[in-house]
Amino acid sequence: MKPAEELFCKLIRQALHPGGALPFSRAERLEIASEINTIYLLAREHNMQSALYDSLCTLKIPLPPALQDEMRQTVVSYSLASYRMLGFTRKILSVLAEENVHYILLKGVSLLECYPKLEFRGYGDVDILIPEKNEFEQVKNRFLAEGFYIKEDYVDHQLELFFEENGKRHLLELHSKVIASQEDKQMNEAVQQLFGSLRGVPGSLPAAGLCYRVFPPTENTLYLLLHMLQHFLNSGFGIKLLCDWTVYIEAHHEKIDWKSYDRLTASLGLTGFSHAMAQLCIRYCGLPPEYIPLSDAHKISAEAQEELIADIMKAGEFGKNDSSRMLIMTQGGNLFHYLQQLHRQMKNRFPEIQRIVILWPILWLLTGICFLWNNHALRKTSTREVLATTRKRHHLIQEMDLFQR
Amino acid sequence: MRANPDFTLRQIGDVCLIVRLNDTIFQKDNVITTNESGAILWDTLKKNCTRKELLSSLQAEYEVDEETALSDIDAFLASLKSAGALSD
Repeated sequence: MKPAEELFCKLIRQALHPGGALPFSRAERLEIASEINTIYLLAREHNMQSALYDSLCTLKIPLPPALQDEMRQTVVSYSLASYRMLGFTRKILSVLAEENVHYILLKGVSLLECYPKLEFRGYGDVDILIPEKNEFEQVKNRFLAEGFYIKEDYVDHQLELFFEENGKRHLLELHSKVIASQEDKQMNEAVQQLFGSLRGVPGSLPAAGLCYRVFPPTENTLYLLLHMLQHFLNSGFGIKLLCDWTVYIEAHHEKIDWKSYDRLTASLGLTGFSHAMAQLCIRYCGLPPEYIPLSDAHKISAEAQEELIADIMKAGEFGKNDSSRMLIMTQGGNLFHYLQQLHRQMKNRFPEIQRIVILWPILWLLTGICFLWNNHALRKTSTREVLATTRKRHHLIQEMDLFQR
Repeated sequence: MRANPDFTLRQIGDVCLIVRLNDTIFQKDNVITTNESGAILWDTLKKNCTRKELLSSLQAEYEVDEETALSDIDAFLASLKSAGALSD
C-alpha cells in the first residue's frame, strides 16, 4: 500500500472505533497533513468522506481552510442525502407492512445501526429481497401504483424502481435472489436454497424510529460475504464493504453461530475467501481478532493480503475506478477458461438475446469486439494489461481456494 | 423555552446538524446546520431554559462579550423556530 492509503485506512479505523485510542505518532500526524489532498481523494473514491472528517477533527489535524470548507460542505450534503434516504426507506417499509409480504431489508440501511454514526455510511438506494414470486409481483405492482416507475426490465435477480420526490430521484431495488447468478452453479443452487426460504428477524434503527426485517446474524454475515464476493468477481469493491463487515461482526459477534457459519462457507467453497476478508478486516479496519475464529490452515499469506487490499484501494467504491479490471476467472487460466469467461461476459452483456442459442456465435464475436474496443477507448488500457491483471487475480483466487470444496 | 424533542443533534467532526429523523418526507428546510457553539446551546435547550441561561452556557465555554453572544443566540433561536425545532 502507498503511505497515503495506509494513513487513510488508519483514519477510517479510528472513525469506526471512537472509544479506542488509536495512537498516531507525531510523524504520522505530520504525514497526514502533508498527504491530506491524496487522503481526501481516497475518501471521495470510497465514499467515506464523513468518517474521514470525523476522524480528522477528533485528532485535531490542521487542515487548509479551503479544503476544510469543502469537507464540511460535503459532510452536510451527504448527511442530508442520508436523512432523505431514511424518509424514503420509511415509505417503502410502510408499503411492505401494508402488503403483508415476507421481505428482507438487505445491506445499506440495515447496517447503519452498526456504525458509530449513521452518517458514516452513505447509501444510494434501498435493497429489498422478496424471494416468493407472487409476492414479488404483488409488491412491484403496488409500488408502481404508488408512483414508482421502471426504466429497464428485470435483470437476473433485481428490478430497479425509481421514485421522484421534491426534485430528487430515489432508487428501490427489488431482489428475487440474494446475489446474481455466479459461474459456480452448485453455489447458486445452495445459496438460493439457504436464503430463499429463510425468515427474517426484527432489526431496527432507533435513531430514525425504523423497524424492519433482516437475515439472522449468522446468515447475514454470510450474505455480506457473498455481496463482497459478487463485487470481487465483477468490477471489484472498495473499503466500504470491508467496513460494513467489520462493524456488523463487531455488533453481532456474540449472536453469530460461528460453527454453523463455517459449515455454510465450507459448503459453498468460500472458507478461504471468508478467511481472506476477515484477515483484511482485522489488519486494516480494526476488527478485533477474537470476534471471528480463524483457522491457520485457511489463512492467506501477508503478500496476498497486501495484493487484495491494493486491489480494493484501486477499485474505489464499487470498482468504478480500475480500468484494467475486467476479467476474473475462478476455474483456471488456460484457453478453455478464457473462452468460458467470454461466454459469461456475453451472457452479462446480452441478458435477453442470449437465450436464443443460434445467435451465440454472433454474440461471442460482438462481445469480443466490445471487450477489445472498451479496453482501448473507454478504459484507456491495453488488452495485454487486462489479461495480465486477470492472471494476477487468478493467483489470488487459487490461494483462497475459491469454490473448492 | 426548550428544544422540540422530535429533533435531534447529529455531530460529525465539528459539523452539527439539528434534524428530525422520523419524517417520511424529508424537508431540507427543517434542518439547521450549526457548529459546536450551536451544539452547546442545543444541549442547554434540552431542559426548559431562559435566554440568560443560554448566555451563561455559551460564556462558560467561550470568551465572548454579552452583546455578541446574545446576537448569536437570537439568530440561532430564530433558525430553530423557523424549522419547528423549538417548543414554547
